[in-house]
Formats: sequence, structure tokens, C-alpha cells
Amino acid sequence: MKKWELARFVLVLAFILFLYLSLITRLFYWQIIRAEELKELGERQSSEVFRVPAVRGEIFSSDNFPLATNTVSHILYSNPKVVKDKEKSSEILSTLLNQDEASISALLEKDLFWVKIAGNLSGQTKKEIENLKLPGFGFQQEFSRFYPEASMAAHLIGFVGKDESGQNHGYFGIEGKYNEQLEGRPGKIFSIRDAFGNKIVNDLREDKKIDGRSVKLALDRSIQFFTEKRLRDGLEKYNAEGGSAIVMDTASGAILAMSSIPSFDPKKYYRFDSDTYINPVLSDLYEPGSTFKVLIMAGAIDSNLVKRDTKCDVCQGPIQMGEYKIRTWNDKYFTNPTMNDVIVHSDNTGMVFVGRKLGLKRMIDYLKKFGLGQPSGIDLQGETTGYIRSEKSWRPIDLATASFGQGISATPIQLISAVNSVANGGKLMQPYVVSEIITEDGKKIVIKPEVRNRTISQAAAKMITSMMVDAVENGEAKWTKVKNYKIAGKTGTAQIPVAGHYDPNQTIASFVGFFPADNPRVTMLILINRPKTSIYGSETAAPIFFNIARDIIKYYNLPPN
Amino acid sequence: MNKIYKLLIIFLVLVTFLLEIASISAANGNAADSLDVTRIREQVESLKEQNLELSESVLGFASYNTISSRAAELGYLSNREFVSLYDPLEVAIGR
Repeated sequence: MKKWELARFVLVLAFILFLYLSLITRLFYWQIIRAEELKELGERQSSEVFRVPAVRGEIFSSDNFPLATNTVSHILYSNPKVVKDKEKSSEILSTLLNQDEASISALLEKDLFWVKIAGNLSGQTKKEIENLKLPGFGFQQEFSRFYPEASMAAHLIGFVGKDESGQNHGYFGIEGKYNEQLEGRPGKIFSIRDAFGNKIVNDLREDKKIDGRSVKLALDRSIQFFTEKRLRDGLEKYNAEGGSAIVMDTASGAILAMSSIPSFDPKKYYRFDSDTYINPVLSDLYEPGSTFKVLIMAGAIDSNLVKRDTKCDVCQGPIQMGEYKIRTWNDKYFTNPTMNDVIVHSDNTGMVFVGRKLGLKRMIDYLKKFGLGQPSGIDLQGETTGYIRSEKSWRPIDLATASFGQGISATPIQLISAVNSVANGGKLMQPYVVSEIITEDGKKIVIKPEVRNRTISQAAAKMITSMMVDAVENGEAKWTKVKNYKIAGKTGTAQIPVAGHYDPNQTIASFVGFFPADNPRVTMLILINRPKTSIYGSETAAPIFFNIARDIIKYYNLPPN
Repeated sequence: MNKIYKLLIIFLVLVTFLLEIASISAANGNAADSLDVTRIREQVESLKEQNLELSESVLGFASYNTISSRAAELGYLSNREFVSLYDPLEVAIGR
């Protein structure tokens, strides 16, 4: 072969080799170096991952009516890389969605595979958009919370908002306390589409969602309804700043009704001041005033220090204690009143006598037994407790004022739980709201009532109950009592401390009691914050209490006693 | 022997070809079924949604607040007192 022929042969060979090497290098580059990226791109074009939201558990009242449930709505999303005519799509959608065309257009210009166009769309709107068969658009189902009874028991139920990552999260009340059980776990569906965009079922892989658990409350919807109504009417009538009402099942400690005003709408919680979300029944410490006398007297009776007819020998006038003078609420005094008279007339001087008999150490012991200074353990979010000061920090005047419920604080739930222990023979029950948890597969977990401890003996409970019945029959609230029914109760008018002193014109008026007195079914506490028409519990809280009591008596069909 | 080998090869080719046809048919059938399944799933989802929407309406109507408002509109009054047979009976009960 001649030299130039050989050279030509080598040249061509080299050229062909070069082509092959280039090809191999290029293939190596696309199939090895950028393999993952191309694989991902391919999958995105032909496959989809659908997030399947978990259905949030429901909250039922005791009659199985859903107080919190779910409604379905839709998110319209787009894959801008697939949308063909962005201008036309924006124009059509802006009319249907009632949104600015420019904002939709801006979303479609994004260099993303998934863009949210609009949320909270109804089924009707979804159908209208689907009928347009716009390429590059899809829908994702979402659930939003629905409260059929609107703001009923709002503080007790709480609401569902968003957390930092934009996911649904319960706050306050049951929605907050039981959020982990209610929220469930979302699932995913991985699917591959054919050339026409249809899902290929065989390629479906699913991470199954776990729906949330539901809870059933002890709350009685009827009692809640008329409690709220009576409280609202009362606050309007007495021109008060706010108020609370709690109805408790005496035997078990279950909360049958809980209402506080001002309240909020859980569906539109964002329109209300965040201060209104806090449940005053759990979180507001207040000085209980004369309702507290029941507990101190019960402790003294339980310790056999006084009896119903023990006479007070220091009650004929105000009691001077250093620079302080302890008076009765109406500056009326009796000579040698009995302990029964002290409760009936709500005599502060008589309670000072009892407090001294009890002594500081025993008083503190009884306060702790009655659950003060510690959490009640109720299954709601946001409970505060207050605390009982150590013995060393108490002065004689503190012992005196504590004996009639001033200079000491409690939350409403603590007070009603304590009085409830008197109603059921000395057993302090743990208050609770949820009576049943229903799992995602329908299994029911029943929450049983729990006895925390014994406060006083049955005999002491019986004695103090009879005194409370007398207080209703012959005390300041007798004008509003329920005829033919024995109700045990006590009024309270606590002055509110303002800037280091007590304002005589600003009070928390209250009434606590239980009925029927011989075999109590229900314990109730009414609190009225700063009533204007009258500052007294006997003229504001007591009528509301007895109005609700009448409703409950009719509802339960309780026979007269 | 050669003939046997030839027949064997032809047979294997035929079988391969037939299996390939069967595979394509099965895949095609699957794809067609999946269209139906997808349609049925979508119908089920749609029915579930309608169910939820209906439930929402029903619950709204059944709520005590709605019933109370509606009753007030229709002129129903709340029953203020109950009559006790243990009290002395009045000659005439005033409204």
C-alpha cells in the first residue's frame, strides 16, 4: 500500500474512532453524570405524587352531635411548564375565581412544577374549571374545620389554625389538647401517567393515610345551650363586663357545660382579639370571696372544731386586727350567731372566728386537700393554678381574710371542683371533658371518672350541705330560689384588688351550689365580672344560677324534694 | 439433528412472539381497566364530597342555634315557668 493510501486509511480510521469516542463520552455524560437529574425530570413529566390529607377527627357532644367536623374544599394548582396558553388561562380563571388576572399570570410564569393558584374552592367552582379542560391544571382536596353550633362552647373546643409550616394545628381547648390524636397522618399516592396523561393503576404506590381519632365529650348540648343563653341574658341585664358558667356532673366530675363571655367564633378566630381565646374558667385567678366560706367551714367541721350550732363570741361587732378592721358586708352584726347563721348571713366576722379555730397549718392543709394551688388535671389546654404561700409568709390578717375568701386566689375550675367534693360526700373528683376517644377503626376508649382524694368526711359534707341549703332558703338570695326544690348554695361578692387596694364598686359576683341537695346531680358555679346594676352575688349571679337550675330541673325531670 | 434444531429455534421464536403479543395485550387491557378504575375512583371521591357538603347543610339546620333562631322567627316563646302541683292552685292562671 502506498504511503498516502495508508495515511488516508489511518486518517479515516482516526476520524471514525474520534466520532465513536465523542459519542461514548456524550453518552457517559448524559447517562452517568447527569443520570439522576434526567431520571427525576422524566419522572416528573410522567409521574405524580399526590398528597392525601388525613381527615381530622371530629369532636362530638354527649348526644353524638358533631360540635367540630370537616368540610371539603379544593386547591387549584398548576404545573406552569405544561400550561400552553398562559394568557388565555389567566383570563378565564380570573373570571371564575374572581381574582386579579395579573396575579394569576405571575403565578403561571414561575419556573416551578407546582404552584398554588387558589384555595378553599367549592365543588361547584371545581366542576366549572374542570369542564374547561385547561391543560396543566389540577385539583387537590383539602379539609377545613366546620363548627355547626358556631361559637357554642368555643373556649372548651378551641380552634384549628396553622403552624409554622402552614399545616393545620389545633389551639386551645380540645383542639389544642388532643391535637396529636385528632390530626392523624397524611398519606401519599405515587402514580405514573401514560402518553395521554391517564394514571396507570398498576404503577400506583400508596403510603396509606391514617385519619385522626375522634373524641366524644361529656358536654350536654342542651345544658350548654341554655346555660349560654341564660349567662348572656344575665350579663346584658346586669351590664357586666363578662362572666362564666360551669355545670359539672356531681358524681363523676364530668363537665356538662362550660361557657365564658366574651367568646369567639372558632371558624373565624382570626377576627377576634387573641385574649378572648384564653378560657377564663381555667386561666383566670380570682379572689373567690364568700363562696370560699363553704370550704373553710367544711374544714373546721371536719376537724370537729365547730358544729352547726357552735356560737361565735366575737361577732357582735367589727373585729380589729392591728390597723385593719374586719366588717360584715352590710355592717350588720349579731350576738352569738351560730355557724349556721354565719353561712346564712355570710358573716365575715364569724368566718374570722372559724379561721382562728382552724389555725393556719390546718387551713393550708385543707386548701391543698380541696385542690387549691395545684392543677385540677382537666383535659383542656391552658390551665393555670396559682399557689398557696408557705406558712411563714402568712400574717394574722392574711389568715383572717382568707377565711372569707379574700387575699387568696383560685381559678373557677378549682373552686367548683372543691365545692363538688362537698356535694358528693367528700370525694374530690378530677374534672374532665372527654368521655370517649374513638379510634380511626371505630374502637372506643372510655375515659373513666377519677377520684383524686378525700377532702372531708361524709358527715361533715352532710352538715355543711344543710347549712348551704339554709343559706338558699333564708339568705340574701332567697328571693330568687327555686320553689319546692332543696338547693344548696352560697353567694359570693369579692372585691377586686385595684392598684394595691380593694375597689368597693368593682366586684366579682358569684354563686356556687348543687342540687338536689339530698342526692346531688349537678354542681354549678356562676361568675359575673364587674356587674354594674348591682355589685352583689345575691342580686346578679344567684338569679342566673337559679334560672339555669330551673332549666336543668325541667330537662332532667327532677322531682321536687 | 439439524432439522430438530431448526424446529426448536422456530418454536422458540414463535413462543417468544406469542408471549410478546400476550404481554402487549395484557398491558393494553390494564391501561384500559385503569381508565375505568380512575373514573370509578373519581366518582367515589365526588360522591364523598357531595356527602360532606350535604352533611354540612344538615348539621347547620340541626344546630340548636339555627333551630332557636328559626323558632323565634316563627313566634315561639320560651317557657318561663313550670307549674308545681305542690303549690296552692291559683283560681285563674294569668299569662
